[in-house]
Amino acid sequence: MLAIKNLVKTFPVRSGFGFSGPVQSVKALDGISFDVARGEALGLVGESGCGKSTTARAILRLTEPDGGEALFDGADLFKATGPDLRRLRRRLQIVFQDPYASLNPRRRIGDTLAEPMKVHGIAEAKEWPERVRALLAEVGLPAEAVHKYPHEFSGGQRQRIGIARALSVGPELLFLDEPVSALDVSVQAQVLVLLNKLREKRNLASVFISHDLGVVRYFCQRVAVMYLGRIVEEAPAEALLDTPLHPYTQALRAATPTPDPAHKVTMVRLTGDPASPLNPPPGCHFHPRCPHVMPRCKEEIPLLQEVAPGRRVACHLMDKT
Amino acid sequence: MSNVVPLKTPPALAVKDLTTGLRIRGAWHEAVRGVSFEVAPRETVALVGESGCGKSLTAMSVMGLLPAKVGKILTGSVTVDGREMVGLAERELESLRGNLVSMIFQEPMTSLNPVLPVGFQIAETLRRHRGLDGAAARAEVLRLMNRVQIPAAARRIDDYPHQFSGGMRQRVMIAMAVACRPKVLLADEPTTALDVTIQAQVLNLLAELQAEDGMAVLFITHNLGVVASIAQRVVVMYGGDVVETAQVEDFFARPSHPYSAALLSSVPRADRRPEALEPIPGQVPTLLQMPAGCRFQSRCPQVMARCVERPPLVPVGGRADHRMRCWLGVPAGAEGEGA
Amino acid sequence: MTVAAVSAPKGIAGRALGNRSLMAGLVILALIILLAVLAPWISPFDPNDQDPVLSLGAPNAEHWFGTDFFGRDVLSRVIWGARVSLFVGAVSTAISMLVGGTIGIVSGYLGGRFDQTVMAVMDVLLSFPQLIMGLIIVALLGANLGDLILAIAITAVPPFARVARGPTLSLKERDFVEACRALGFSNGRIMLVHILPNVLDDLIVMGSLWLATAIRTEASLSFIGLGLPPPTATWGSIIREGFENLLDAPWLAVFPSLAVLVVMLALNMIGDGLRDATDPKAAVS
Repeated sequence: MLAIKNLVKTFPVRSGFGFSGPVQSVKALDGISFDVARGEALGLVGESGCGKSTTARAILRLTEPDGGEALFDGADLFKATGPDLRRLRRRLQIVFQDPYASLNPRRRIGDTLAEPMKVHGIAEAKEWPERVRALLAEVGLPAEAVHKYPHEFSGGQRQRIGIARALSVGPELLFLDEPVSALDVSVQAQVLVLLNKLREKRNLASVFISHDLGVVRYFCQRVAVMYLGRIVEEAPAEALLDTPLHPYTQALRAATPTPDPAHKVTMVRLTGDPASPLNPPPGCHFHPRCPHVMPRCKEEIPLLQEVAPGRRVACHLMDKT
Repeated sequence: MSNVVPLKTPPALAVKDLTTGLRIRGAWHEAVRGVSFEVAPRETVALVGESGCGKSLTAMSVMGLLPAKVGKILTGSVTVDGREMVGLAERELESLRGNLVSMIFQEPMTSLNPVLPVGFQIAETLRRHRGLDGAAARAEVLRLMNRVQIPAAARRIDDYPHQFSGGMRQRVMIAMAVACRPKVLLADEPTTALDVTIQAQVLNLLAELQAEDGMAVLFITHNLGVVASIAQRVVVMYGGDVVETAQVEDFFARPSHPYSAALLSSVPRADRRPEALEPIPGQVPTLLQMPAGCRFQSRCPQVMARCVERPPLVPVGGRADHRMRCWLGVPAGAEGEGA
Repeated sequence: MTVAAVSAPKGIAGRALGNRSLMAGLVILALIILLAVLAPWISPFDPNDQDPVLSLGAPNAEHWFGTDFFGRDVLSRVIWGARVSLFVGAVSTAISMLVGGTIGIVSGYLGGRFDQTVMAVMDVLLSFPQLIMGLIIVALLGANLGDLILAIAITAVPPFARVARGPTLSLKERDFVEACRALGFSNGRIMLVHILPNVLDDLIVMGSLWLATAIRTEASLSFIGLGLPPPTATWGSIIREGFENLLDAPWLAVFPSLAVLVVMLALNMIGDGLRDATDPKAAVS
């Protein structure tokens, strides 16, 4: 349903002040490719700076991509303009991370939820109040919410409103950008269960962006791991988390705490900070921190290859040659 | 009421019946109620709970850092290395902070002064408590920076906080905190804002420092995974009450308080996928909305009529070191329904 | 976190009413407006009525503020002068708020070279001392009521543009604006419906503070002779006369100056009070 090929995004970073100063570029996305099937949930995991949020924004054209192709149900997302782009936007939506910034503080909830319908000409004006009520009910909020302002709600409730807004246009695919990271622990579960329910009910495809492996395991069928702008491993969720193949995935998994005192967090020998995106290491981006580094890793970029059915890894260790 | 069988060595930190109030709209409300626990030297106790449970407030009470007009310790005692902290004058508290008991916080960017070099900031503790200055202080700062594994310390000693990454800034904070080899270290969600691989490094570092210096560590977190990894004992708080305390292995094997059990089954785990995630319904009540009696009653799946009365801390499973605050643990007696 | 969310923020109106300096300022301003509006009825004399015999008379029972060089009653002139000052001040401020605000929001939102160019122009205009700019424009256009208002309005456009642009720059990065773009809303809709209401508070606070400056500018222009031509009574021209006769008739300068002072004070109190009332940090009780 969603086919991404070689997505590239570079940001210019100006050092120095004003108009002068050298311009460096940060390659936030360095050729990302993945697919999402209808109704499937793909997890996009990685740590800060890996480019997972940028991926979503580039595909949705909230920021313009610098290369690559994105096909949604056959339609070219990057070539669409004007009314075509507007129509496509109805089918792909996004839920943001920060519930305190994702709603206009000066608008009532009812207006916020009805506005997308108004802009896209969905249904007739007289039907909107009923539809808004239905959306609120779907995310578990009372109908009285239409008259209220965002500050009258808690973080979890605001997140639900954000989800309702995304659903108001009837999307087929949802990008979920760390939708529960900013919420309290007990509220996280509520929102996750809600998202799961909605996903089943509406047969939504989703791209779930997160740094939390536990959350991703719960929600996603397949997971792609990103490191410094590249995908390093992709596999079904259970397989990836039970038997990670890429050294970075292994480190990530080993460093993730689980509520089991018998398995404490272990430090796979990763020293130092993640490399800076301003100055990425040549060859495999991970080689300076990799416990299994070989001379080849410093020169040649490993390609994402299928090493087992449904499992792709970008690592020279697993090269068939 | 102590939560543990009396230790052979005196505890490094002993909190007894601590009640801290917050002033809201003129009236004082108990945000922390009758909290008691102890931390032995070389031991890590995890203080677990979500927002609003009072865990940070408890730590601030221990340090005497409550904002003057709106927070104060109402009753109870806090002893560090045998010394009573409650009721001390600000000047005495200042000489103990950073010296006998230190604290590290969640956001290193706001805890470090952005306009002073890190070397200067680390040296401040040394100047204040150990009277070091000039070259001697600088040498010690360098030693500390190496100890917390900041690479190229000699070059970076005069750098500013914004030139460090989040994990490195946290190490700077740790260096400041352990500079005077405190007996007790309070860590308030120090790794929550860090990437998971950096978190693992920092947790590792804290464990090493603890082993070397013999510090008692009170580690505040909402992440049960972190608790399982680093703590020997766990204290669970909800709505200002201690609701369960136990040895870590025992806790995860047998979470007894309904809140603890609910929390564990509502957290998605990386090691196995539960068939269903069971969220706890409702939300934590705000301080003004707290129910009388058991704080958890409004969300508890096993609530009873008796819960409007505050339950006592009772032992669980026949163990003296595993306790919960719940009527379910009180044997069926003359009044009310039993477990 | 839970403690902070204890009560919903008091409404802006609620906080405004509770702010003493704001209310005091509003009362004073209302009084002055009332005096100005009722001028034809409460003014004891015709402000242009000359009586050479009474030239430069000190304040007495009949002429509370004394008389000027031409024997005209100063109190009446001050009351009628209020009309000019308030009218010119209010209209010019409204125009500059509208124009400057729009420029600031559009420029800030669209960004890029357009923004850089527009702001460069604004910066150039800002670098002129306001009075000099007013002077130049009046000299070019003439000193009738309409052109005077225009001149003062133009001097205030750059500051309003800045005031509107600042919050726009940060707002456009906020998630809710991104959500609007993800939902396919047009730029125009986003600027008008989503960004403007969030910038309005700052504009209004700025507006009330700037009104004081507009009144002062008008008085200053009149003072140097570039305001409305005589015999129209304006505070600035009365002060100018008073300036020329400072040793003989100090009251001529004192009373209109006091009037300007009082109005500016009231407007500043209102502006400060409004700023406090709209400060989101003050929202959590």
